[in-house]
Amino acid sequence: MIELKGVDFHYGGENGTGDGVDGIDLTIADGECVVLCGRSGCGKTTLTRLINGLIPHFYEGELIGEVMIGEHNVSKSALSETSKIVGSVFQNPKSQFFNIDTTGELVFGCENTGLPRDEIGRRLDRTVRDLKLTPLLNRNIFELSGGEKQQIACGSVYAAEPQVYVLDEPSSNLDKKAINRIHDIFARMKANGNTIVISEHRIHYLMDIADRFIYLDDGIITGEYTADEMRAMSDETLAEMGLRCTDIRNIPANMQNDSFQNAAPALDVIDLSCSRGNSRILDIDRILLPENSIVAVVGDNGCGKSTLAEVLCGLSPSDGSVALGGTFLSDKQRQQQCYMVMQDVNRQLFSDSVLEEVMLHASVSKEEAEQTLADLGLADFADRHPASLSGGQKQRTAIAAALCAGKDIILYDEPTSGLDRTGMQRFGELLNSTRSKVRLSFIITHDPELILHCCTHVLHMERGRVTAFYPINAEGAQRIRHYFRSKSSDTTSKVREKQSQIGKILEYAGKERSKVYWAAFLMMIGAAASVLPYGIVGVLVRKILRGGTVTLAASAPLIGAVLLCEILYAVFYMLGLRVSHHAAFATLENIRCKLQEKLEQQPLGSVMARSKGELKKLFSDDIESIEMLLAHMIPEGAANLFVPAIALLLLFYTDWQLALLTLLTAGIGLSVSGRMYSAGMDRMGSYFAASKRMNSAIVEYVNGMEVVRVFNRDGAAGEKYEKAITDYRDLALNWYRVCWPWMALYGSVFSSIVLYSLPFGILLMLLGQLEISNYILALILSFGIGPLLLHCMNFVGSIPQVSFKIQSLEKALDEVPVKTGDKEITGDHSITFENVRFSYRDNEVIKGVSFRAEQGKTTALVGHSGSGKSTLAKLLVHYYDVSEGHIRIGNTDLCDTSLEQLNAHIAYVSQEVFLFNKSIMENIRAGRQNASDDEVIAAAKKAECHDFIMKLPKGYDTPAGLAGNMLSGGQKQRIAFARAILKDAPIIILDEATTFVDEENERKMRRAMEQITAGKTVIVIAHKLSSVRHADQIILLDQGAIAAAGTHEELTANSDQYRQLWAMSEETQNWKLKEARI
Amino acid sequence: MAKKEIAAAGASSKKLRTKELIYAGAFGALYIVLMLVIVLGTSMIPVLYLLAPITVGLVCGTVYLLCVLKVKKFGAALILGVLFALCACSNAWFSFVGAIAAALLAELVIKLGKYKSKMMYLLSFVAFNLNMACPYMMLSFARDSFLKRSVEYYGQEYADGIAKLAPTWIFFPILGFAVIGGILGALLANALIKKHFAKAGVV
Amino acid sequence: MNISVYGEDRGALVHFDPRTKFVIFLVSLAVSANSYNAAAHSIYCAVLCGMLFLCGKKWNAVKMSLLLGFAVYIRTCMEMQATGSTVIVTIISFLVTIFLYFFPMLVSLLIITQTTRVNQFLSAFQAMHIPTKIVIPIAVMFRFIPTVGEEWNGVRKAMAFRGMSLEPSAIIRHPVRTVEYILIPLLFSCISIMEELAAAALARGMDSSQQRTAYEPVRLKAYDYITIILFLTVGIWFFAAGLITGGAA
Repeated sequence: MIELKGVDFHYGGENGTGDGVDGIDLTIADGECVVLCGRSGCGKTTLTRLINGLIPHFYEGELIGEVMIGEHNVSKSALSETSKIVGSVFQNPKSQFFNIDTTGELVFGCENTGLPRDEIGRRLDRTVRDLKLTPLLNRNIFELSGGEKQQIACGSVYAAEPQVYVLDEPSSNLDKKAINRIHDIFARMKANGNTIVISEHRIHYLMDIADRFIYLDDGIITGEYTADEMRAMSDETLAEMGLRCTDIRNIPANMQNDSFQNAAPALDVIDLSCSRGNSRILDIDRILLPENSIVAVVGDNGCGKSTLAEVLCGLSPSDGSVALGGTFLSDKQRQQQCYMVMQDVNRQLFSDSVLEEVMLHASVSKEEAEQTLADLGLADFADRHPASLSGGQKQRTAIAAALCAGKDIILYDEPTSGLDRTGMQRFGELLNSTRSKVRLSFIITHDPELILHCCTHVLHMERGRVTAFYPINAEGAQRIRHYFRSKSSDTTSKVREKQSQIGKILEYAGKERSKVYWAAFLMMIGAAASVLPYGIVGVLVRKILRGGTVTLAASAPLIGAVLLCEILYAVFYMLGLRVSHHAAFATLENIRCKLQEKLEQQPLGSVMARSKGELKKLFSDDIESIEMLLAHMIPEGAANLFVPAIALLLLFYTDWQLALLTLLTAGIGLSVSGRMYSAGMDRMGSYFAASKRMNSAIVEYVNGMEVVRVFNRDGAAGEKYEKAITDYRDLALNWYRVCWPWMALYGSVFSSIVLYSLPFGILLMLLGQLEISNYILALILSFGIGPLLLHCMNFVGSIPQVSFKIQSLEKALDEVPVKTGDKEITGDHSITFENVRFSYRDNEVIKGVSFRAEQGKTTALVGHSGSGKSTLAKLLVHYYDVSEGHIRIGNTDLCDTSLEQLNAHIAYVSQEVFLFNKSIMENIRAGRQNASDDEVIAAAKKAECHDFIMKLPKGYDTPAGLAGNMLSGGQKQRIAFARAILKDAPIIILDEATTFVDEENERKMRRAMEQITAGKTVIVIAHKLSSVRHADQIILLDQGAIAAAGTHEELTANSDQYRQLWAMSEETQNWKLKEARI
Repeated sequence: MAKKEIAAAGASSKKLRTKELIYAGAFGALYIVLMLVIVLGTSMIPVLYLLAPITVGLVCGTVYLLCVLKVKKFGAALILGVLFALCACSNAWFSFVGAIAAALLAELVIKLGKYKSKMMYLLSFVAFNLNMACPYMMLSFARDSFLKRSVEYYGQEYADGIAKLAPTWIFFPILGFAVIGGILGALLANALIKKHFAKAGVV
Repeated sequence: MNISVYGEDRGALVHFDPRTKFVIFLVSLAVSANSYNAAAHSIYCAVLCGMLFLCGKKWNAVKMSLLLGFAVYIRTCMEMQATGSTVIVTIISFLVTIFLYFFPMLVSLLIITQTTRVNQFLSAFQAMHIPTKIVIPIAVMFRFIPTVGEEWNGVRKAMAFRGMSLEPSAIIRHPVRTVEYILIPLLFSCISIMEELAAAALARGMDSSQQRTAYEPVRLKAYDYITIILFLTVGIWFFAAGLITGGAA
């Protein structure tokens, strides 16, 4: 039990933060979770410091009264004693760890209390297990994101197993993903029966954990509320109290009603990409931000928001074009027009007074500067030192400096982290008032309240790409609220890549790696053999020059050796190539298998979201290009480098001065090719994006050719096609333009190494330092290694290409797989949807759907297109994971069972029927592999397929490719029916074809359907209401939610919406029939 | 943000407490990073390399003074000196000892001012900055053994060449530079502390 | 600027005790200062590369030994040919000698910093009975060096926005002002970080009077003793040889 009795505290020193607290009487029971809330400076943090003993042992001041935790007097005992029962987590993730590696930090508290090693090990295991920290173990803390650091901080106190946790604004610097994680951690702490005291501005994430909210105002406790009382407070009440929202769903949106329809673009970004080390951080096709807008940039930490901001300001090098106010500018020019208000505003205050700070390098007079300060409410502080101000005031000083310096574009990096509601609103108003003065405000933020309060647009980023850009209107507000409530994927940041590209490829090679090495070895011998003849010739020449007579007979062995070397060269080179190709193709197989495995685990939905062209490129072209690297680059490159190195050493042996000169020229050549490498790397991103676009466009064009011809829509599709191709051409040319000068240069440098050393050699000879015979030997050696080096450099040029391909491959492999388990499906075959929510990207398409489809009954899903019918079906077959809620078959959750199990229970007949390129017989047999021909034919008869199949040229043996063109949509679907009949799964999902043109076909269809559905649990996605009139249950969906449910009769009686839909459906039906008759 | 410990708990004790040890270590990191940046940044130009005692003194004086003013006890300068010696002078024992001696001298100067006199604090940096001359001690003290080794390796002629490049007296101007750097650094630190840190209430 | 002192020894073939690494470092200093025999010196350097390899930095070890081999080879070639003008020979052999002189120190420093974690240091220091007055500042220094790097990067960016140049020309024109612009934000933000760091460390019981325990075991094993003895012998031998040669010449 924590007890504060009549506690007064005031900070010593003149510029303390906040004024302390007065007359605090507070009792916190064991196992209780108490949230301290209130405005900035209300004394929340002081209260936490009183409990963890930092007051009075670290922060000086006047203390009256005492703080007791059970029998332990915090104010009197030493800090190290208190630390055994109180665990503290602080606001700033980057300043609260003491170690550099995460594991060391996790056990730090335990080590300090002197626990034995075994005990520490046990606690570490428990902490890692309970808080799910495994991916963060043994990492460099400086590589972690703020959220991850905060998790480690929580883990560190958790391992010390204190009775009480004191958390001082733990969420202020975190994104929503990290907030979700620490929420789970706090819940865990509470479940363990520990007392938790949290001081916090953001309270929405604590609503389900907190038992009691204590409201402080000006150092005095003025209110205590339960979670329910807090929830019941209206937004106005909260605003009055200076508190942030209790539920993100209730944040009011301050919609900007100006239209940006005709606004000129303030910022125009085309084909922007940015890489750091081996990984690509940004890959953006286009961003267009309108003039005078306030754009919020959202996305998880590490998605590239900050990098984008830095690139836009011209701070980080990038590739692509950025235009401000319509003119494309260089990095340097952008630096002059942009200003970033950093999260650590301390870093950007340089002067000794606020006024001075604003005037520094400003383009305005003193009066104007003072006016700006007054506008921002800083007039009273003009003479104060910026470092003595509060966080919010420092921030405003930085903004004032930006305004006075006449900056066009101001970027803010998480400006409201750690601000209370008043501070946040004030900042919002500030943004609005400066809106007309600056072209663009660009805000990186994790604060939904700020976005809804004052932003005009939202830019959503994911993994370095822009996934959405939308204005804040009614729909946008809904979207952003949803985004902040939805869970992000559970991935943690990657361990920073230290591996080189070549190392990575070798890793893929796996077992084949030794073969690659072997190949390299063989090729080295080959290459050495190719150089040796030059040496031999050198020796011969030397002999002649030294005055010896060379007869043919005497030199015959040498000439023989030259021949032998040539033969050896050919043999070893061939051998090497053979081995390396062997290794390469085996590796390709590995990679393809791995890719396929990964693709199978991934949500089918996201696989299908990729264009066919992209997938094809991934599977065949990109992987193919790795072959080049494995089979040629690595072994040949190694050989081509190794031999010149040996030759160089030989050269040193002959004459070190000349060798040094040669080395120098080679060095220049290398640095040049290094330039080329980086230049090439920069362009590579756009180059590949364009080639991907082109491929997709071509595939789309070819696929759509038929439609295009028929409907004569050549224009739009053709244009897209053309544009993709021109883009590709431009980029390819661009790339070559960058690289060609370098290619030419290094080509010439290398082939003329000899030329460079020629004059020096002569000089050395004149000085008597060099013997002519040595010189000639050196020359000949140079001739020998030149081509090898040149060869090698060619490979260096293509490394960026290959490495980029590897990256895109890895990205493809990187999607989060759907959750599966290995439980059997038990219970009956009913289907239960329980409060299911699902979002595609940040768009919620299913909003809390609950219903139950009984075993053996038919349930129809109806609704307008886009109401979520098909999505529900896709969720049921586990193409995607649900975001929230559960789908059960019998008693088993879909996430607990394997895809194979599920597949055995469900037959899904989709609208689009895919016919494999085999005979019709085999196509039907796809429903059940071991079915006999007779069974297949029986199924076909039931599905009313038999007749039309027999009319095909070869009956059941007709290849589907040939038959495909002769079959109508309805007939194809009946083949799918036959498959489903053959499969005989207990659950059938029918996605009804949209158009049946003739009645004959429809009748057959209906009969086939009756065949399949007899005795099964059936879900029909109906586009035509008449066909599901007799369903046991009809569920009417509207915009992702259930609008009404019941039988046809009930719905006709009760639901207007259903009646409307019914009428509409009938109408189109008639219209279609009529049309068909004409 | 003035955060001082309460008078009762330990200001009266002259021993350094954990908190102050942490400050000293952190300032040590600052000192060393700044020194390395300057030395590596200027080592392209040999003359600037020899002038490093001045440039480093100028920049690092403020760091040193903030450190000793924040702790105001025996040991702050010494710890800083030890950290410096560990990072910059561990190539030769006499440099190491020299650097520590410089730090002790600085402690002595501060003690003479009874841990209160601002003048003495400033003066102590002049003593402290003598450590910047220590890495160069090798040029004088180890010169002989270095030359002997060169004789061993390359012969007398070569050793004479080296001897000409680095005369014996080179150490004394460097010592002078260290004093100049100390004075300049103390002056700049005084100005900056008055202008910024005192005004903002940090020390 | 990327300063990192993050060490890890997971790839190590032999997990040496930090104290062993310190001994290697000290012996390397002695060897550098007292070696007059080119061949012995080179062999010692090669052994150090081997140690680096054993400690898990294989690639680094290979690179270092290639560099070493190259330097020794050049020197040998030069000696054998005995050509070249005096100036060039002097400059190059001076560079080579300096490189070889610092080589043992460099490699043993690599062994210490790249393969040892901060808490291993702490435990080792504790086992060596070094007072906490020294241990804590050293540990904090390691922890803080990357932070200073981060802050410095931030300040540099902030300066770019304000049009404050860090080009050499600007520094020469206004040396004091440039120093002020760098120091003020850097110091203010570092001071606030170190205060928070101190508070966090104390709140986790850093200044407990109790003996600290260590999760990472620090124990001298048989191979540690063997290594220490071998290195000490070599060190003493070099030292003695140095005294004799140095004294004789």
